[in-house]
Amino acid sequence: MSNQAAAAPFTIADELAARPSPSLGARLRKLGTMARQNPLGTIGLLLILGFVFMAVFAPWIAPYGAGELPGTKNQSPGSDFWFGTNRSGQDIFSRVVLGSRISLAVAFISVIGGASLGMLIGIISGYSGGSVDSVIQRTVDTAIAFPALLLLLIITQSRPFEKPAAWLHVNEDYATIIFALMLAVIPGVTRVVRGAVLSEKNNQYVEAARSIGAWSPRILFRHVLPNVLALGIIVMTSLLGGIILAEASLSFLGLGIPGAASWGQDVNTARQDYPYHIPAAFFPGAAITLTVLGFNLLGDAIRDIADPRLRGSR
Amino acid sequence: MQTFIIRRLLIGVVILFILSVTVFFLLRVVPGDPAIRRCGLGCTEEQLAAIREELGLNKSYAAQYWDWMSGVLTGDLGQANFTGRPVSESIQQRLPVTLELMLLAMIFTILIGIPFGVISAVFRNTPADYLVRVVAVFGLAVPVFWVATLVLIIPLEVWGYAPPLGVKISPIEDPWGNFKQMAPAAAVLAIASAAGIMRLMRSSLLEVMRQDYMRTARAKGLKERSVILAHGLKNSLIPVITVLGLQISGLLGGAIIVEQIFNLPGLGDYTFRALFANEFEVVQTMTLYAGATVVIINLIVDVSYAWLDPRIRYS
Repeated sequence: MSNQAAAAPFTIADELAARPSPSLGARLRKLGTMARQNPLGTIGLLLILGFVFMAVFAPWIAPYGAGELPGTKNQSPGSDFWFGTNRSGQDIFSRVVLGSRISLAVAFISVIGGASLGMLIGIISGYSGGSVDSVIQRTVDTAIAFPALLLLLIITQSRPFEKPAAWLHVNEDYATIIFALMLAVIPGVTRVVRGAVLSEKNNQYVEAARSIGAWSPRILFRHVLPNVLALGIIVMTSLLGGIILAEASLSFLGLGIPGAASWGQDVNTARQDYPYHIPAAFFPGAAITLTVLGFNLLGDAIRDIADPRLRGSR
Repeated sequence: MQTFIIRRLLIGVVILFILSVTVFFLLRVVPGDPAIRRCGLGCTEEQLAAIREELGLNKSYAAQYWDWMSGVLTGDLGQANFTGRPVSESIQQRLPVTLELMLLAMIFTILIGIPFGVISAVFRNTPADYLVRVVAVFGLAVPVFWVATLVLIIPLEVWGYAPPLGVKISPIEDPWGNFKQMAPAAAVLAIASAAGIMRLMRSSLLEVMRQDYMRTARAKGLKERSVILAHGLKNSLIPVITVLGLQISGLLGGAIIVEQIFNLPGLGDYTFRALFANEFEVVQTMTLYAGATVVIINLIVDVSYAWLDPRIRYS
């Protein structure tokens, strides 16, 4: 009798807690199985980890500073300078290593910020419905109908942070480019999350919460948000590659962050004047390609694992 | 069908209105005075006032918006200071270049994306499929500006070859010269869209190949070739065409970069230079035109569904 009473509230969480935790070897084997099942995703993850490592430890990896002039101009790749030197005599390898910092930092911050805002707007749009939803969705339509690069150019050129950045004591160039890229992220995330919220809000748990008198923000953030969070993270991963490309394109067009080593800017410098030096254009662009490739491969793998129906849908 | 088209056109007008207001305010309400930026440091108050007067910046926002919109609607776009010519004249000269670039890029996208996507699906999990998929994954990762730069400087450094640059070659008077000028730019522009179409075509055709009517077609003894081409391909084209329509806005953005690098005198280059010259009205107008192009093409795409899949009816 007492045994049964004790058994009744036995939950899945208790059962999980009661299981012996797997040994380190078993965990590594499980990780190995996952990696074998998703070889491309694993390559992507390794590429990203490599570039993140490079960005974090850039000053210790790069043999020279970004502005240092250790060699003669336009040297070919060799043992002294692995990727050669550029037109000013700077070490291309060092500039590629140091350039990873801006690309990754700007991309991560703007995608996380933009996706959070996009999720917020998407949840509000999907949950409230009616005219609020219509206005938000028409605005999203507009943003999607619009060439993203042109929007980015207009924002970066109009310098919206000329004054606010001085008040807030932040770097205006970073603030502008992150703001612009965040705006580029928002519409896509909003659309996807709104769709998910529309199907979530008809679930019984929402009705149950409402019937016990929970008010809307509580339902949204305690109940609906956790259910669409995974989706938001998936979309975020798949957007990172595109945002790195966008940042590089802006830098290439001369609207990036001035003064710092940047992959896009370096490709632009390399094409400016005769005589051209192929390594100076090749290596920074190859770094962009491999980073974007890493994020795209990882994003695909995560999406396949999370939702097999979306497989190869891009 | 008619009501559908009319409703979509009305939504399109709403979208363009939101777009025009957004761009108008993005360029004006931001902190920082365009007149000061235009005039430079050490500018006198009188000079500033004159510039504000000339740009119409001393009027209210509503009046400025009205001036601009009525100009756009009547086709009177005024003069552009950075070229010293009427805007409509520049558009007339430059539109054919961008139009040809877009058209060629679309043709490349279709000619490369669809056949290779079909090959990838039909021969799935063979070396051919893996090759197409690897190429597509790389195609989505390479920056347009990087490939364009390499396409220009590698032939020049290695063989001393450069495509004709900087001059406008008429496709009627010198078709081959025009092709030599436009094809590399259009091919580079098409890389990402072709890669996207390859992947989409593959997954869409694989989805269709699982359908019952494909089994029926095989069961009644059709050759595999006609099963794929007649029954499979047409049914799997719907998502592909949707995405082709959506890619237009990406191509328009890419045109800005490609026209810069290949020195093509098109509208992307014009917009870019107007932006740097702080010619707001020109940027606004070009933005609106770009938006209108996208809206119209997506409407055409939606209407074409009815042809591709007769089950789709619009009401």
